[in-house]
Amino acid sequence: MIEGDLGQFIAQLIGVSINAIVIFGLALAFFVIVERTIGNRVPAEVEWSGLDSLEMGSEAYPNV
Amino acid sequence: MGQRLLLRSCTPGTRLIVSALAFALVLLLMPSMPAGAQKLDHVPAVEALTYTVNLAWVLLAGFLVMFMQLGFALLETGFTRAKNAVNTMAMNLTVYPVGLIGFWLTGYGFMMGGIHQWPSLGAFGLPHRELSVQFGHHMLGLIGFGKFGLLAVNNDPASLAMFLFGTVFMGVAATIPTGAMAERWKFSAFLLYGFFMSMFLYPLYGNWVWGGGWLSQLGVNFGLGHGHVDFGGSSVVNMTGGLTALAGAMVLGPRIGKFRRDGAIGLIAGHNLPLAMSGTLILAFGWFGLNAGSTLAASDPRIGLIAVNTMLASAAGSLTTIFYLRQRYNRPDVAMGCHGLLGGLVAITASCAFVSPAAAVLIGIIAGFLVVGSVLALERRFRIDDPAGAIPVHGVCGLWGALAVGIFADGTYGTGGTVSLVRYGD
Repeated sequence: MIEGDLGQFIAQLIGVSINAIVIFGLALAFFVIVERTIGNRVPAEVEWSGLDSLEMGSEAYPNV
Repeated sequence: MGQRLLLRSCTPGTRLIVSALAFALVLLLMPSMPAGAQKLDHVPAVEALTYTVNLAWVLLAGFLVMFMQLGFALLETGFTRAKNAVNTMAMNLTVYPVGLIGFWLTGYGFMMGGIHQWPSLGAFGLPHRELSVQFGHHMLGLIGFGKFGLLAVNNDPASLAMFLFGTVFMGVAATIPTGAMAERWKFSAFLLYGFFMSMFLYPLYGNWVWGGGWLSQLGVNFGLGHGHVDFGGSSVVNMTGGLTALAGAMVLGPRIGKFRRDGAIGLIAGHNLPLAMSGTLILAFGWFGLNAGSTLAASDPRIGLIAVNTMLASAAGSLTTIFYLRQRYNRPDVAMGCHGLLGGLVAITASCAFVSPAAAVLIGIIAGFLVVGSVLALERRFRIDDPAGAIPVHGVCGLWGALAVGIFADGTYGTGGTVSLVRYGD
């Protein structure tokens, strides 16, 4: 743009806008579908005690 | 019938393994490229040597980018709590094999199925197919459709090297959301996401910019510069990862205790800052592969400028955040210094081959301010919880980096052709 090519800047603007609309939109749709089927989030008690012991079944620092 | 009965009597795990083995066997028996089809016997020795050196360059750069998986793993684990360390590491470990298989099955075919040559690597006239729609007199490429499972190109060294190179780039994009969604994401839901990202979402935008799709053709079709240009992946890799992280963090909601009922914001400190800082430096090391490797040619003298721009922008981004926070809060917040370093790297990625070192420093400085501003805005204004700062660093700086091409590109590289000429000579 500083060199005088506004077209290049517009092309970049279109590129990021499409990313923000299409990629964000598809990702949002995917996460919403997962939310309504198997769910995205662990139960609150798992979050309280940590995902390592209850979700993964092993801890990073068992002796601390 | 007998086989079906056998499958039914097995456990789900055994059934999965048997199905996978049967599937691999079917793939083995499918027709593939004849061996030796892409040998370099017919070209002069110097040319053949150039192709081989370029091939080695792409592979070596790919190995560097692969190491970034560890960088992300340490960064995210350091910024999260000890009780979730195994889970955070496990997501970063698992996204690699899941993504690899997903990208091998369909991802590479959707993204690079329409590419018919990699000139710097000595590959010409590859089998290719791009599904396009007609718009006026122009053909707009929507998605690649070929080379699935690497079947049609299994004896072409260039296509295989580009598969490795493309896979590790996808791995970077796919591992970004695990930072924003850490400490509360169900592992089964994460696995499903890993396949969705590697098999479809990343390859889609990747095809539009790097696979000959419609965004790369904006110049040829509509006279807009060289089309959407992204040298190393500010938009293709980082913005895609950052915005997927944003969508995920919004649906997932904040961690318990992050945003209190009375409006206060809870401080959930990461459990190992040295780990996060180590991860940051590993990422900065791997980033040389991301950017300098994207020439797809060691024989391209531009790699010197690219590597220098990459390191300068990261330094500018990091120093900006450190000095700014020291000025404002009277302490040099090192966590923010990490984010600033990475923000500078993300921002220079799209333009690293097209700008001067001074412009690279400026791009990095702006990225530093953007990181601080968007970290604070995300938390205070939008109340979105992002433990590892993935959305500000990769989403916001990725957007800035892609725009910076249109502002600072000085026209000394890649002129006179289309975007694909810059990257692939297509």
